[in-house]
Amino acid sequence: MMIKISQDRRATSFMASAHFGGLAIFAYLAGRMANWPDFAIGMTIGITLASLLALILFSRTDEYLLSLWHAGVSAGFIVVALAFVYAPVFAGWSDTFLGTANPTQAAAAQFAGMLAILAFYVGLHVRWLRSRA
Amino acid sequence: MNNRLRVLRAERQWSQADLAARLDVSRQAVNAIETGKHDPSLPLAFRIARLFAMPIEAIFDDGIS
Repeated sequence: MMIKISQDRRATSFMASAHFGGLAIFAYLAGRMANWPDFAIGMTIGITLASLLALILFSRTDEYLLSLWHAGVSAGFIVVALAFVYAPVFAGWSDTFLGTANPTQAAAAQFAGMLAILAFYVGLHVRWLRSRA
Repeated sequence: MNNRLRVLRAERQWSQADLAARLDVSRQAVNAIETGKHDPSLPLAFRIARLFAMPIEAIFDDGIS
């Protein structure tokens, strides 16, 4: 059974998801640096993923929200492309200073993914802020 | 792109939500178009023009005279 959601409700859901997801990804990064408990880190990841799912579902509400989505995706893609090129450079540089006892290759790959998601939310919000009066 | 959307909307005493409902877009989209921060697609521009019964050029101004 299809539930018809009004245009405005979908737009509101999209923006709410964007805001909560952006906060969640920042909370995740802050939590990792502050060594939060695993369940707290898990919650931030869960909120981020739920937000991304909602954004995918509601991005096609209208062309304006789609433009916000595209802005976020473009920013995320740029970070992924840069990480693809520079992650090995960063890993090598980091290993030089930290020693190979703590190899950073895996960390760089994981970090790149989170940076891409962070860039997505930053790109979306920058486009949103620039489109407001 | 400059436009007269806000003026045309005010003449009919429509809220942004009213206009959004008539155009089948979100209120956020209407606000972004009115403030010139988002340029509508061609299909949406045509829907706006038909709604106000005016040519597109009478509503939107690209600044090129």
